[in-house]
Amino acid sequence: MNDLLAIFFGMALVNNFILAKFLGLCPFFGVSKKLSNAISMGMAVILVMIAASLISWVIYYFVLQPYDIVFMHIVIFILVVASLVQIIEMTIRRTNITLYNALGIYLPLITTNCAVLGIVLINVQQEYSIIESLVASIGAGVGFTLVLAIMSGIREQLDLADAPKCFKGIPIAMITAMILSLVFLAFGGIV
Amino acid sequence: MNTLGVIILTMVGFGSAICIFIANRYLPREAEHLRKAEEISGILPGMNCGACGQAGCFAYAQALAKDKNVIVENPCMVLMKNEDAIAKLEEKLGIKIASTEMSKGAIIRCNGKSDLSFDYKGIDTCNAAVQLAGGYKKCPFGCIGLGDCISVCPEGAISIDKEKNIAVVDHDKCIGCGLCTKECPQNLIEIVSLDLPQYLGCSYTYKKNIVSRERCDVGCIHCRICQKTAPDALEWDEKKDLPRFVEKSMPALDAVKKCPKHIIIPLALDIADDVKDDKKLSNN
Repeated sequence: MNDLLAIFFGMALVNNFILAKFLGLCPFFGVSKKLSNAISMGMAVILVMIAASLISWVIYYFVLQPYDIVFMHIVIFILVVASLVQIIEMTIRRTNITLYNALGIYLPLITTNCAVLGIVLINVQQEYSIIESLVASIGAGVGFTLVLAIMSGIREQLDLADAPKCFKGIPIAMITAMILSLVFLAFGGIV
Repeated sequence: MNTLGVIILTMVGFGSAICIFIANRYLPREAEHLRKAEEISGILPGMNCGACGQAGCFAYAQALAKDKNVIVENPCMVLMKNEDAIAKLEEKLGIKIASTEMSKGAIIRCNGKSDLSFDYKGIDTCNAAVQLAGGYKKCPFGCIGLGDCISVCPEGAISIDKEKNIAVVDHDKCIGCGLCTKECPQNLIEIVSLDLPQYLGCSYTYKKNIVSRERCDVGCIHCRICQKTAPDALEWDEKKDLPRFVEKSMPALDAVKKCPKHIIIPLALDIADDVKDDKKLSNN
């Protein structure tokens, strides 16, 4: 149990995907303008990360390893993740229209997101079991959502801040992200 | 071993394809209005310009599927120029769309020919040029003429008039999407209904100790002759020192004719040929 907690908090806070591993920076700046959008995006990422890490675990240990073609894992994971996101999008669209309106436009964005591929590859690299990779993917998704929500909260205020003219918009957001990244360094000691 | 890798990769690819096929085949169909929205979005231009006020074409289609009167209140400007698409949409929604009445276009409130105050050799955009001492033209309100609006125009309807050194809109091509209005640093472009009889082609606003005559050959000289000839249609805006149309749709043919600088520019107004000739004479 302690191991699982360590993995969860390690993924969510210490090795945060955005601020420590620099994965998924595109949605970090693209979707962090409004809090509601950031939460929706984060939820979509959590959902896709869980599904992707489970299915890729199965493929890695039951297809790639027995046939000794582990070197192909990146290309096969990309293929699997992309088609998985398609199926998830289709399912949500056909079954729950409210959920689709909340998450729908973010799902295609995630299809080729490096954060999703990242969690899949890290699971394999760390040789996690299926339970561990499930916990790791939830942790990574929660960390992603957390940072996105924090950043969007800051950016909503930042628009009103009296920044120098040349720093307005993205430049000041970059500097804020840098400070946020330094703040998250403080979590380094907890795991 | 390499061949095995390729075979497995192909099989995974086929497996994913079959999964998507099965999901597509056996999942229940989507809700009725979403399917309708999808059909409508097939007719819509799909350029996601946002001129209708919705987030994109699909969002507009969803709004249309819910309430067909949206097309009357917030018409899709791009669609209004396309008769085939309008016919299809009329059939789908079951209402009549008066497309010609609703069609809109961009106008530029500058008539050009301002002298240059200095030679600008900087970044080649209006937005950069206007940051430097308010632009390189003597008139601080005029069109910069470096074509920020051209770069955003999806239809290529805007071009630079070489002689006047300002942007001009080709109304046959303009779809009235309004992307250029946001781009112009001088806020000179406006989207108006194309059945507007005339518009004011100068944006000079009153500033102390500046007389627009000194800077521009075709700018307003504040003679108020337009207001005197057509007092019903026009009034004088003392604050801006410019004429203002009281009733926008009222034709003011006399004012168009009388304006010594020809800055009241006819749009839908049917002007007689002699006025056109007059104009040519005075311009030369």
